[in-house]
Amino acid sequence: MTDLDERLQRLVSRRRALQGAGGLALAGLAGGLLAGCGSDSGGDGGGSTTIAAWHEHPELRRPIEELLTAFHAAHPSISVDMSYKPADQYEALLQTALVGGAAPDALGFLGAARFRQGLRYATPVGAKVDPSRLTLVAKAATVNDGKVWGVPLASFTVGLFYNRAIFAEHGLEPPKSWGELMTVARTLQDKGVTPFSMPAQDMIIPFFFYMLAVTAILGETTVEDLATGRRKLTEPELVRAAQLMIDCQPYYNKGFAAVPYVEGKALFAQGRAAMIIGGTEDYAGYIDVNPKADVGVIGFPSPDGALQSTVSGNDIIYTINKKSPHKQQTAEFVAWLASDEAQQIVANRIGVPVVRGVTPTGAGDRNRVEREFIAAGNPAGIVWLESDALIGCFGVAQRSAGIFTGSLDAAGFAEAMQRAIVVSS
Amino acid sequence: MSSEAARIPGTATAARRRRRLRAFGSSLSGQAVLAIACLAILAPCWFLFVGSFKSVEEFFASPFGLPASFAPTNYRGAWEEANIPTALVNSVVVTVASVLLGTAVSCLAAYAIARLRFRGAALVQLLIVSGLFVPTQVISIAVFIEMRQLGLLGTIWPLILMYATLGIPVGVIVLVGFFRAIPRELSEAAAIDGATPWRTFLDVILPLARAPMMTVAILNGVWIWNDYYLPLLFSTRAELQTLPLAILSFFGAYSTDYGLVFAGVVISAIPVVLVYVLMTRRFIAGVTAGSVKG
Amino acid sequence: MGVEATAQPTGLVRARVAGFARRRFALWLLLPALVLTLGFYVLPTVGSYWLAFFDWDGLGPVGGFVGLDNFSRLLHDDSFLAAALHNVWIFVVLLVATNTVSLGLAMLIDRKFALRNVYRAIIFLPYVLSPLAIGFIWQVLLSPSIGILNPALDAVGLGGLQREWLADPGTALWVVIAALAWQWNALATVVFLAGLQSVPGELRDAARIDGARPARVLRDVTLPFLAPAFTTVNVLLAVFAFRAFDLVYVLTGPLGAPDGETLVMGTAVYTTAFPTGQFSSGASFSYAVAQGIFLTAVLGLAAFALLAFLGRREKRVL
Repeated sequence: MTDLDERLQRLVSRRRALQGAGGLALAGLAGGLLAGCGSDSGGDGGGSTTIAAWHEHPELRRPIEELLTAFHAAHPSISVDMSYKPADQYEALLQTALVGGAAPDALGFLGAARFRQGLRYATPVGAKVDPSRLTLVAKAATVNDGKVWGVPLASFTVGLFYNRAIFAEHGLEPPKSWGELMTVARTLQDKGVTPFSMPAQDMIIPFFFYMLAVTAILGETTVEDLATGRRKLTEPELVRAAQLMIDCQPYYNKGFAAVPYVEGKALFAQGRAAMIIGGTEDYAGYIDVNPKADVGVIGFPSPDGALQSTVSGNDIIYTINKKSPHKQQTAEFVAWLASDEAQQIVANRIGVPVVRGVTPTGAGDRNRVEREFIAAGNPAGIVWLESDALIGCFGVAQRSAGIFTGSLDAAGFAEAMQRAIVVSS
Repeated sequence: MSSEAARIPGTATAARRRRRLRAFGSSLSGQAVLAIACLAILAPCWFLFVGSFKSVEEFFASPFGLPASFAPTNYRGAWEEANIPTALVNSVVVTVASVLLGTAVSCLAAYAIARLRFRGAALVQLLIVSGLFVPTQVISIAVFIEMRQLGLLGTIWPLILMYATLGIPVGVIVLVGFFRAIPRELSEAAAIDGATPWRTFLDVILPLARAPMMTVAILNGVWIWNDYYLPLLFSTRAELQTLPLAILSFFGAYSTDYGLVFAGVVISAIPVVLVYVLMTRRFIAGVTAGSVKG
Repeated sequence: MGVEATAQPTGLVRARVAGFARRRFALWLLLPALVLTLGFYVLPTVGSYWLAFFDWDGLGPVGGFVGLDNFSRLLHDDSFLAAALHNVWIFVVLLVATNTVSLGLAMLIDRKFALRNVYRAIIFLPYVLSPLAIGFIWQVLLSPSIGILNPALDAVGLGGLQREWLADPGTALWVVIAALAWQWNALATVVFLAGLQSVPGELRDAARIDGARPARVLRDVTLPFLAPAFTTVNVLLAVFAFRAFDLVYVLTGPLGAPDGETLVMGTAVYTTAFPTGQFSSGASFSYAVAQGIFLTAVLGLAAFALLAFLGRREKRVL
């Protein structure tokens, strides 16, 4: 090695060492600057408190910020720091935070059953919220032994969306019975239109299809009947619900078993499929893909056409973290969510309101669709994810994609579902 | 004289001409293969790039065609909505610190394992390398609790420490192999010259390790830069968000703005590609300089 | 005489002192790595893995000791075992493809020519781009409704090859493997390239001047220097194949659609540990940990087999 090379080598190694030290120092500095208080609970600063909360709909950031601004105006000493987590990882994150003892001040649980599982980490909202003002689906979730434990931000309702333009073009009426459903599907298929968009990659839409079909048969008491064991999914009348899903298979979009939810919605929005199972919160997604989408919603048909069903559930339900140092302020926030003011914003921008007497104001297609949902809700069933007895059915549905490949028949599917139900009399 | 020699097969001149012809031919077919491979590799990347100039409506209407315009609307949107400047800085800090820490630490450990004879070297290597075999999802809760106990939640340290730790196995694998290949005479010569073991390491061995250290930096740096799961767990505050989280924030539960997602991904990829190109160019310069001196 | 008599004991003592010094030096060098490894890898791993022997639903207090129940459940879990098999397929295909295609590409790029830097950057892109977006693009590319693969096949007259790529149980896994290979190839090529660049140019030139044919140069000069790169690439390949998660999750969803055909251990563990639709219940989290241990065991086996095989070749060659 020449002298020059030696010196160069030493320079390089020294530079690397310096870079290393510098990097660490920089990181340390940055870390110090970015350091804050330990857990995710908010902070106090000169009379004003900040409480932390999470939400799983990053796409609803603007409406929710509107909501939070309204809250801050009503309660100037409290501000809410809302953190938006990706929906797919929300529960993993919440579970980790709860077990790890660093969960936010306002705990948000997705649906009634998960809410009840998480109650051991919560304190009730209590007298601040009048349970009689809550809608049935909200009350069913949040009232436990007489006490109100939390408030859902919004509710949702799921029914059958259809493309009005396509139906009009082919002179079809929205189906009321299963017979009509098959006829409509066959007609559309013959004319070269894909009747159903059925994105089954994560089995969520098929699960809703099944719930709607069963609710169309059993009516408003579906959840109660199944939870108490009065009715069983394996009864021949109810096996027909699973069979319907198989019978409609020729009318689903191509390759549906591996199509993800987002693509399925896009197909429907673009008019490439005529019908899709969807909820109040799906509408915005359709418009994103096709602002000129002309869609309407009906309840899911029943075998004889006597009633059409929808199922409703709660979106995120907020309650107070037992370990929060700001329980008082968090209670104010959660209670405020049940106010008319808050729910009016919800009705107009987010979803179905959870208190009675609030309807979406303003014109526009979104409100029309919501009103159609309200009109279609007869019987209004409850999403099984809200019921302690039936929540296990979703896990089973996820493992039952064999119903579409033929490895599982209708009876087998119904049997698997029935086994997941925790029957109590 | 030479022409006669060329006519006799088996002579050096003929061999040289054959070699040159073959080299030319194979370089042409080689270039063709490369070009086709690059096309296949580039296709999905190209679609992503093109998609970053489309709105959601445009994307689903025509996912793979050219966009209506190359106006940077999505880039501007992504930049502002997801607070990308902050995320960018955080990503740089976390990645650089983690890579430096992890590489430095693995270098020291690899040297000890590879060249210093001590009992249990194989066991230590086994222990360190086994870190690659554990799926992070399962241990995430335990890590979270540990970080909370250490009072590090809400700071940037959980990320740096975890990434550095996760990067050590790769560093050790690469560097142990490299250090073992260095002839013993080199360090023995330095020892005879009176150098302490530390000096031997620093001045004689380490400078040679530039290439593998860069490989380690690339191997670890890229996946750290793109990792979203650990930041999701630990960077709960907005000021601590990294780029992958910024991109993730465009994924909604019911609707996703793919234009913003793609723009975010392109923004995120540019620094990495730049660093990679610059680093490897510098590296090549170093190597060829070394080989010339013979 | 006297000088020699004292020289030997001093030599031995010096050797032993040097031994101690060397061991202490080694300890100092190892300390940072050991601190980090023990503190942030061993501790959380042991702290999680013991849960597999207990009954824990992931949210409440930990239940009682259940011994090997979770593991026997695992051995009867058809869908998880199928997932493990899928990982094995991924591993095998990547093993073959990497050591042929990636190596070949690296050798092609290694030659000096003008566009080399451009190719280097391009080759690296699949690894650089976030799997979240890339997975989505692949998925749309393959879509039977809005994708372009099927129309493209039709356009070049290969319409007969059209498939519902991600929905057809016969092709779904292979398509996923192709996507994984596409991403992995980027990294493997780059590492091979770095390894190739460590081959001293003079040795190759010398061999060529001596009249060696390219194949001979490859085998006797280049490959030995590539041995460490081979070890790195193949061990990381095993890790990539058995811990595959991000890309698969985006491409075929949490359930490995269709009907578990593309389920891999990574997604299985994640959806068992954190099921959507409820917090882990019915000892799901403990079961997920057991699955994680299985994954670790299988991956460890594959990695050590590789290390043993490559290590032996490395020693023989160097």
